[in-house]
Amino acid sequence: MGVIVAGVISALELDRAMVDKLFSLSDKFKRGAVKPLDRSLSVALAFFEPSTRTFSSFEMAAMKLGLSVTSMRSDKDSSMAKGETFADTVRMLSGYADLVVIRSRFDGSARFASEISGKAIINAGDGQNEHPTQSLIDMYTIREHFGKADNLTYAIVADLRHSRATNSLLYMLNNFRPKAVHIISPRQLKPLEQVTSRLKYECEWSESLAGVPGDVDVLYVNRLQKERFQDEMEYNSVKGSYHIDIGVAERMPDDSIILDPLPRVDELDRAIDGTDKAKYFVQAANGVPIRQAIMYDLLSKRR
Amino acid sequence: MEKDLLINRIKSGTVIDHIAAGKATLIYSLLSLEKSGGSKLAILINTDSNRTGSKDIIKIDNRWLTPEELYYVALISPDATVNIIKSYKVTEKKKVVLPEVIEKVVRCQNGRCITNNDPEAHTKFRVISKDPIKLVCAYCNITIDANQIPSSIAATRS
Repeated sequence: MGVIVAGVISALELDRAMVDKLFSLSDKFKRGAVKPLDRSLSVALAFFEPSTRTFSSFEMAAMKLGLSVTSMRSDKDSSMAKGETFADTVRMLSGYADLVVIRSRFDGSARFASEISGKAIINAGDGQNEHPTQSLIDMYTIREHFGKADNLTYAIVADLRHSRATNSLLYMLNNFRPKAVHIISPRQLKPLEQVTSRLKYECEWSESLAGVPGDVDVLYVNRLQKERFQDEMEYNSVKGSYHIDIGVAERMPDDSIILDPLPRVDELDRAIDGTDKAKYFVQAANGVPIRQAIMYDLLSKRR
Repeated sequence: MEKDLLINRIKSGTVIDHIAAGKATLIYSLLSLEKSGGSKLAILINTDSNRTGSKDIIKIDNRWLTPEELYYVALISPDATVNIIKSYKVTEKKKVVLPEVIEKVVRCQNGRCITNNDPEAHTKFRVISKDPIKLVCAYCNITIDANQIPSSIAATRS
């Protein structure tokens, strides 16, 4: 059985046993079959970068667990605006809470926080690097739909150069023996070699949506990460370069699904929302039980 | 024969031998050897080597390298050897060793990396390949190859 020691920092560090354990725990939370945690336990939600789904689902998950919650939603609302360092802010919040959830625009900030905090750290997105809890939500949603998560065919249509969600998804797929993984993106938005070199399976890349195979099980879509481009000109050169419309959805097999970690910009046509393939809001909703499971597991070990 | 004409033996100090041909000036620059307090210093470039055909050598009088400086040498020329000289004799001969993890020596080239954005976050790189040298940042996972190492080291020393 896998064991979380320092928290959840990278999808690469979550082995299959741990993932399965968290999925089983999430199932139990969905059924209401888990007792709340000790009310004296607490979590700090340290969001140095804007967030809607991740913050709200962590907050809701913490409340459902019966945890005391302290939170910040932007570095502009904290003493970092006065010049306090990231390290000092993490230390301070670690003094208040039993668990710290961190989102930051800096790559590697969660790993650094885990080295100085003394408390378990959950990476809720660190710059362009990783978003491991999102990848758990993705795979949980897939498992929930198909009754399994192994041996499926994936097409990932995204800005894989800048997306932390797809980095963690690609890492997480190491645990699930995918039948095939097709990556569709403009050439300049292909995943970095530092990511693909860590994958235990082959990826096939293409620039066109024609690269979505006829037998696709999971079409995973993610927006262009506009805020992470070097400049407007670079962004404009790829803006609108992929768009999933109802025609693409209709060509997919009957039982296949479309996921998007959201927010949605223009990568996914709203006409798809009413189809059975649209699972992105189910995926968003699964953020609560998955994050309940993660926090419960970490805090249970603490006691 | 030619070597004897070019440089004298040193009485006490360090000889960095078996430096990859053409890399000695880079090591000289990174170690700031020009600031060695007036020590005598000799650099041999593209001299003969039985092992590799050609090599560079640096001899420095009354100067010894710190562990951190040995890492710099290892990063630029992993096959270099360091000889410690006392009374004109080699008293210690060691091959530079590249550790599994290199801390505080190489600067991450990713401007978004936490190590470039918090004064307490010191750099830490794992060595994922020794030949050719390839490093990966333990925080942001960016990789640095041999060509990028000199500028990354220089950045930490500026």
